Order: sequence, then C-alpha cells, then structure tokens
Amino acid sequence: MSDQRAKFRELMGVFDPIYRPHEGAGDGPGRSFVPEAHQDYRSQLEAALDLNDNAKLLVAGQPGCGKTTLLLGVAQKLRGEGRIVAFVDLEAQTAVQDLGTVEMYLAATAELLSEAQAATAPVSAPTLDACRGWLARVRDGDEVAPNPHDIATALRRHLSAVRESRALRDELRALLRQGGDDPLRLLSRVLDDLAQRRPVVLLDGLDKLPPGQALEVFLNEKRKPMAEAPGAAVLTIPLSVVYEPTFNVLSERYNNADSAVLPAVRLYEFDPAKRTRVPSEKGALILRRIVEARVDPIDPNVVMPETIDRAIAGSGGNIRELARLMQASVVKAYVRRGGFIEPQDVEAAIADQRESFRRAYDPRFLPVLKRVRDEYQLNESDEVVKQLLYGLWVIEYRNGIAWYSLPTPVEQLLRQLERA
Amino acid sequence: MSAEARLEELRARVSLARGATLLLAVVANDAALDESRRLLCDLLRAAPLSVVDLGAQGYESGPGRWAELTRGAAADAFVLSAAPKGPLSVSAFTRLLNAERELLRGLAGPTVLVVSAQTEKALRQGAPDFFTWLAQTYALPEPEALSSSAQKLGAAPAAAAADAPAEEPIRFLHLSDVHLRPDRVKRYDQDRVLGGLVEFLRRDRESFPLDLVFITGDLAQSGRADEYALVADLLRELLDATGVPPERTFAVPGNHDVDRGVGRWLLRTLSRDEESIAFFEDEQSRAFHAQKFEAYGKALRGALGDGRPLGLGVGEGAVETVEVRGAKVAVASLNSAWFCQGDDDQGKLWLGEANVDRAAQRVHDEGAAFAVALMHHPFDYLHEDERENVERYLERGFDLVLRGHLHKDKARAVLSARGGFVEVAAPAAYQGSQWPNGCFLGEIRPRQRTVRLRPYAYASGADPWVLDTKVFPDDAHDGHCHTYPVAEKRRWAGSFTRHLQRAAREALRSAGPEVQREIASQIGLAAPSAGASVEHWRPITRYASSLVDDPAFWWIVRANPSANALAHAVRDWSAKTFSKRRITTSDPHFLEHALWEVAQGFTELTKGERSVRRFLYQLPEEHLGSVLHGLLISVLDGPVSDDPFSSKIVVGTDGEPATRRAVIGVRKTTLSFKHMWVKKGLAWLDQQLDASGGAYGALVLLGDSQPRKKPTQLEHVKTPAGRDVLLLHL
Repeated sequence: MSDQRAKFRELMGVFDPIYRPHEGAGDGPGRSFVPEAHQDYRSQLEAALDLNDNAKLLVAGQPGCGKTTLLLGVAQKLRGEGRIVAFVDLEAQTAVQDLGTVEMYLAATAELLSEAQAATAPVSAPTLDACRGWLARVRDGDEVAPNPHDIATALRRHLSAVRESRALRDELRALLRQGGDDPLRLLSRVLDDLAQRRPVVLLDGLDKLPPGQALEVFLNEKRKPMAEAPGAAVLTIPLSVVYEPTFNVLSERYNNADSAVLPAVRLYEFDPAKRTRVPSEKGALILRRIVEARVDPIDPNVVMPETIDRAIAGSGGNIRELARLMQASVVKAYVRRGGFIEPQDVEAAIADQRESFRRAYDPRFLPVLKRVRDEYQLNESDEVVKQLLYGLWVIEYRNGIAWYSLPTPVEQLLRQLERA
Repeated sequence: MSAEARLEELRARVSLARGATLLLAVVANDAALDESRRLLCDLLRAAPLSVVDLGAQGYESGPGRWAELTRGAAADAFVLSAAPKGPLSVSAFTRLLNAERELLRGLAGPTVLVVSAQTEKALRQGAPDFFTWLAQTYALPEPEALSSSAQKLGAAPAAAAADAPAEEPIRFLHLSDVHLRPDRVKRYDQDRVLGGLVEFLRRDRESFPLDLVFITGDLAQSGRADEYALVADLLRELLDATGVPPERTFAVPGNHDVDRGVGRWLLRTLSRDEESIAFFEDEQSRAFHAQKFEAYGKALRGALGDGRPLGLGVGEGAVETVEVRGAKVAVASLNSAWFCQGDDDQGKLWLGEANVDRAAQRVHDEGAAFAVALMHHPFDYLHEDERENVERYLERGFDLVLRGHLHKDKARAVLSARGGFVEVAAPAAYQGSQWPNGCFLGEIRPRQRTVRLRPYAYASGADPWVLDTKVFPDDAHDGHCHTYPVAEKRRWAGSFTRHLQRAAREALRSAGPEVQREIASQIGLAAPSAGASVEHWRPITRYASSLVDDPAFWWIVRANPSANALAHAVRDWSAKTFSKRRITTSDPHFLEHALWEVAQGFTELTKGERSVRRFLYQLPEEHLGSVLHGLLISVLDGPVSDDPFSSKIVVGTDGEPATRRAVIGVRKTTLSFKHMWVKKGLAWLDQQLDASGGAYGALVLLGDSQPRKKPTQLEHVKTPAGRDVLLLHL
C-alpha cells in the first residue's frame, strides 16, 4: 500500500497544475515536456527574435494555456545560441497587484546584470556607476560594490522591500516624478552595453496585472512598457487587454500585436462551410502526448487509455485544466483504493469540476453560454463574455475567424440548468 | 458526494500532495471560520500528518505572505483562514490573490485556505486567475457535522470539540422583590421563607454551582437605612451559601428602594424626549434624584463593592463585564426607578433611550459573548415616548432581560428584526408566606445561544423550596425546566467607532470626487458624473462612512486632508474615555512621559473593540501617524503638528527653545525588514533634527499584523550621529 501511495504521490506531482518542466532539469526541459504543443507559435516567436534584434513582442492567452512554459523554452533556446536572456518573473519580484513600470524595469535590470555576470559579458563602468548612484539615492547613501552581481542583489533586495510596503512604492514613484535617473534609462544603458550579445528581456507575469491597471499601462499610457528600450523583449499581457476595442493601437509599437494570442490546443477544427466543429486528431494527439509523457516514466499502465480521452474532452484543450482533472482523478482513485486511474475517476473529477462551475455560476452567464453552444460565436467586448473567457467557462479557438466552444463540465452544467 | 466522502478526499489530497498546493475549504459563514479551521486541523492530524494552524490572516496577507509563513514552520500541511470584512477589503483581497497567485509556488507544503461562501463568491468573481491555480475547492459542513464526521474519520475528539455538544453552562440565580423590613411581627415569616431559600441554595450548591446572582429590585420596603441592614445581612448569607463572590452579584433598585420622603420634593416625571436626554446625559441633572437612592446605594455598595454601578450608573457606566469559564458576560444594571414615587408610577418612568443605547454600545465594544440587562419594572411602566424605542435597543443589544415588580413569573423569548432577547420576570422572593414566593435558577449557554430556566417556589414544610412544576407545565420531560433560544445579535459599535465615522465623513468630504468615485466603483455603486451636485454624492458618502472599520477605506482616502479628521476623532475619544495627566514641554523628560502615555492610550484603544484593533494594525502609515498625533495632543500641552506625507509628528514651533521641541517618526514595520526600518528611521531622525533644530527625537514602530505579545517597550537608542533618541515599539 505504501508503494501505491508513493506512486500516487508521484502522479500528483507530475500533474501539478503549476507545471515547470525546466525547473531542476539542467540544460533541456524535463522529459515530460512536449514541444509539439505550441510548435507553430513558438517557431514564429523564435523567428521574430532571430530576425529582429529589437523585436518587441506580446504574448497573451488563457490562464494555463502554456505561456510561461513557452517562454521558458524560448529562453533556453536563445541562451543556447549565446544570447543574453533575462527571464524576469515579475510575480515573484514585484507587487503585481500594484505594479508600476518602474519596478518592471528595475527587475529587468537586475536580471540582466546577473545574466551578464554569469555569461561573462562586460557591462561598462559608467553604467554600473549609474546603477550604484541610483541605489545610493533610494537607500540613503548605502554603498554597493561596483560589480554587476552586487548591484543586482541590491536591486532585488530593494524590490522585495518595495513589494512589501506600499509606502516605499509610493516613495519610488514620487522619486521618479521628481526627475533624476529614470530606471528605464538604466535598463537601456545596460542593454546598450550588452548589444553585442543580442540581449532579450522576457517579462513574464505581466498578464497578472488587474484589468484596470493593464488598460492603464498598455493602452492609456503613452510610453508603452519596454517599447522604448533597445534590444528584444517579449511581454506576457493579460487577455483582457486583447479584448479591448483599442487594442489595435499597440500594433504600431509592438511587432506582433495582431498575433499576440497564444491559441489553446485545438480539440476541434471549425468547418466554416457547415458552421460546425469537427474533432481534431492533431490536438487530441498532442494532449495525449502531454499526459503520456508525464505518466510513462512512473508506470505506463497506471492510467487506462479511455481515461485519458475523457480527461482531454473535459479539459476543453486547456493544458492546466487537463493536469487538474488528471490530478483530481488520481485522488479519486486513491480514495477508492484502486490500483489504476479508471474512467469512473475522471467522471467523478469532471462532476466535481461541474459543481465548481455551478458554485461560480451567475445567472447573467446563461444567455451567453447558450449562444456559444448554438452559434459558436460571441461579441467579445461584453463584460460577461470576458469573465467567461477568463474563467475558462468558454475555451477559445482562433482559426481565421474567431469561434468558441464550451468545456464538457460547463456543457453538462448548462444541460442541467435547462432541465431544472 | 457525501460530506464525509468529501472530507476523506480532502485529506487524501493533502496527504498525496507534493510541494506547494493550495486547497480551498468553504464554510457557510465567517462565524464558523475559526471553529472549522481548528476541526480541519484535527482531521488532517488524524491522517496522520503534522499540521500547523497559521490562524486567521488579514486582507493584506496574500499568497506571498502565506508562503513566508509556511516556510517559517516545519510541517506536512498548513491550514489558514481569511475573512476580509467590508466591501473595500474584500475587493482588495481578491485583487491581491489574483495578482499574487504565482507566489503560491512558494508554499512550503499543501495548504488549506478556509473561507466563507461569501468570500468564495467574491474570489470567483474578482480573482478568476487565482481559481485556475487552486488545486480544488471543498465545501465543509457546519462545525457540528464537521466535528462528528472528523471523529468518524479518526480524528481524536479535541478538548473543545468534545464539550461543544455539552457546553458547560453559566449558572445564575434570579431573585426579585424581597421587600425586607425590620417589623418584628413580620420577622419570623420573613426569616422562614428567605432563610429556607438560603438553606436550599446551600444544599443545592453541589449539583448547581452558581456563577452569577441577579437581584432585580425591591430589596427593601421603603428605601430606609434600617431595612438595608437586613438586606446586607441577607446578601452576606446568600453569598456565603452560594459561594458567589460579591463582584459577580448584580442588583438594581425597584420602586420600594426609593426613599419617598426625599422624592416628594422632586420632579415627578419627564414629559419629553429632550428632557430625558438631558437627564440621562448630564450627571448634574440626576443629582437630586440620586438622593432617593442614598440608603440603597450605601448598603449595596457596602455589601457588594465600592464603585459598583448597581443601577446607579448610566450608559456605559451601567455595564460591567465578568468572565466565566472563558465567556465574557456583560451585565447592564438599568435603573427604572429614577421617577418612582407612588402607586401611580405606570407610564411615568424613564429608563432613558440614550442610557440604554450607550449601554448596548459598551456591550459591543467589550466584545461580550452574552449580555444581560437588569431592570425592575415591566416595559409598560415606561413613558410612552420611550417605551418602544427602549425595547428596540434592548432587542439589538441584549440577550437576556431580567425584571421583577409584578410578583408574577413570566418568561418569553422575543424574536425581532433587531435580534431579540429572553425576558424573564421573577416572582416575588418574599411577599408573605400566605402569597406565592419564588425565584428562578437559570443556565446560560453563550455558544449554543440558549437560556434554560428552573423555577422554584416556596412551599411550607421541612424542605420549603421546591421545583415549581406549574411554571412550565408542558416540560415534564425536561424536569419542568424550559430552554429558550436567544436570537443572534448585530450590535452597534460604540464610542471610538462613532468618532471614526465622523472622521470618515469629514475625510470623504475633503477628499474630493476622485476618491469618492473610486470608492463608488469598488463597492459597485453607480458614480454620478463629474459635474454632479453634492446631493448626488450624498448616498456614497453616507455608505462609505459605514465602512470605517474596513481598513481598505483608509487606504483609499489616504494622502488626503483626512489626517486631521482622524487625529481629532482619536483626541475626542481619548478625552472622553481615557483621562490622563497633562504633560508640559517644559518638563525635560516630556517626550518620554508623553510617549509612555501615548502607548497606554494605544493599548487602551486596541484592547477595546475587536474591530478597532484590526483596523489600527492595518492602517496605512500616514493615518497611523494621525492616530498617534491624536493621542499626543490629548496628553501634551504645547503645539503638536502632524505631517502625514512623511509620517512625522513635530512638537513645538520654530520660536521655541530646542529643549521644548521634538520630532517623532512613525513607521510600520514588517517582520522581515524591521532592522532596516529602524536603521533608515534613525538616519532620517538625524536629518530631521538637524533641519528643525529640535533637541529630542523618537521613532514609533508598529508591526503590520498582530499586536505584539511582548509588553510595550520604550528604549533609548543612539542615532548614527550619536544622538540619544527614543524607540517605542507598539
């Protein structure tokens, strides 16, 4: 039994919705990583970064569709090419619910300095002095040694203090308003110094900005984040920005605004002639690979094949949702004291998922959900629609024209609601 | 899925989880939160897992903070709860969780977050991303069902859980209308009945150990001193027989406790509400009427304790609290006999609306689990102008109303829109053995919210006091006792909160439309257009001022001229509630003394209303400065000014000598960065003192979440420039 528990515990680990294949995996991604998932999009992104050293790219997508995984993969590939890549996890370093561009730039500067040090790329003395001067000002005269590592550490320490305290955040912004060295200028100087190594800044976590603030930072603000910095950059942005009617103005400042949305793995293809959907072999195959790649090293037989198909249908094509359903099924099987993950476990997990949707159900959702089912089409700017798209009630596909589909648990819930 | 299956699954999930995992456990309401969290810990411990209960977290504590907490404690699993109160805090909480969800990765192990269904709903709407990161949501049953399910699943019955079904009651005796007189003929009869009662209570002490004694008036016959000698004797015997200490014995005067000889010359009654307010608010106007109770007061205070209100205090002064086995019980001794004079009292008596209202607020402020009001007369003896309102205040504030006067038992549970109470009228304990004499023994269960009554009556014979089966004839199955449910209360906040509300209104008025618009948008009210008149803003101002104990409110109105309003609210509160010595700046140690007083005042503030405590620890720094400023101006003579933008308080003005001037910095600190704050703060003090030329400096530090366990500390430290300054940890 304890053997069984160890196996199930391992399964819980690989189906963790918080998926990080690159963590502790050395050079390449872990064995469970399935590169096919976003192959097309990924090659586009890599091509754009390869052809244009000043490319400014955006990536949006549903929560759990694989944005961070994609960017981590890209970072690894670029590092392999000898480029300096700063992967900035803004959530870990800043107070994202109250994030200003200042913190964004400071975090990027710290990351770049560390990367430069690690890659033995020289940063000029005047640049380091500028960073030290800035730090001395905000830290009331505390001296920092003139090497990139110490400066990066001091910057991070200051950022973490800023994350903890609203007062410090306000102080930082007030400082900026009063003029003086702009953190964007510091970042630009570092990027200029590293120009030989074709630096790339990957800002992950910006998609967690609350919608109001995202609107402010990306659409209302004149100085778009990173747009004025030299070098290449990729920014994750919230899906809510994409649905704003003025989103197209970003296309002047960023190179890929029109293709910023990372699609979910398609479970169905849309047949525009018949206005119906047809199951997509390719999508199902990718998702099946994703499950198998994680299960096989543990015990290829522990998950029954029909089980995977049910879970894939239930996930609607969202990778994190799939992991979550599989994880819930593992718990169900364990509580049942079963030796295998059987279809009944997935059914029970989907039922739980449906109950969870029911708890969040708001009567305003009903007409929109009905419309999705009947027409596969939505008016995107509606507030309710945004809420549905963001809360994974509706899985979105873009295939020339936009159309939508409901995940299985939501469809079941809808049917129950209509019967009641 | 049955509740048990759900719990089993939750437990399996926690025990299978590897690394950071967050589960959401949803309970019906915030009231069940703490109990459920505790039971959940027991359930998980039975897995067996080592579990750390991280307690209730505030609205400013999100995944980042939780991760920090879990990393500081070694365990297999963690349980915590959160109950953001007020719409602004709820919206701040949901935004924080949504934004910080990736920090969930930092959790040291599987963690269960317990919230109410209401909070869950807000999270689902306001934090959809957070939900995509949650491993699973489980609905928990009510605490009782959870407790029994947990036991079925192997959790050891915890100490508190075990006595939850059999809550140890608080036992009381309710006596009324004793009418003692030194008349020789009466004496034998009187002794036979009351002596019998004392004997009965002595014998009953083993099986029914009393915690509290309530006497609702008419202890004497005509309010004369010789009668009170007997009253004092009776009280002594009673307390000796029951073992109840004097401070747990409560009494109010009745119409027979009034010395009518004195009252003959006094105002018979009040005719208007305004007069009533004046009478009960102004001590001077009661001075003459208080003389009628001179003998009563002297005797009772002699027997039960000097300075006790015993019906002679009004408002908050009428309320006393006692702690019985961990439950805080508030007792308001309300005097319905101020205007008693003859047999035509009906409709002429005043309890005072203001009096009852303020008493009820004090009950709220004390955070009492159960509140008892004592009075002598039934409600229809009160003046018709106040009768209804007094009842309503009692419905909102009190759980049990005990009275007497009619020499007839009566008990009923009142359930109203404001809550309600159990009203118990005791029969006369002694009105002559030829008439019925009786009393009530009762059991209060604050957690179950019930009151159980056992009626006793005098019957002549060897064992004269017996269970009175006629009072509850239908309750033979329960030994002729009856259990009344007590309605849940929504008490109104008192003193400090009221001052705060005024400050909030002022703050909003001066903050201008942007702030008002922000508040309107966060609480989902339609904001009027920019040019709208003041009239259109009024509903928002009014609504927002009810949000004062929602700390997020102060974050929104911060950096506005609201600081003064807050300082004045604190000063007004301080002047009324917390009297202390005045300190002048000519005293060479004025800063040290003043800060010490400020610390006392702050402690006083935080130990009163629970909501206030939470509020103070979550205030932004600049408002905290205002609170301390308010406390400072109430103790220090001399100009004190507050600069909210740099969280700085300045004592003295430029023209004064340096030794009469000081600079005080106020800093909120987080645990992890405390010494950084101190270091920065001391350097800042040097700068400030250099610039202003003051001789003294101090730094006040306040933690960000909980009141310190350690006592307040005031220490001397050196600044980088070598100045000796004070450091106060609150």
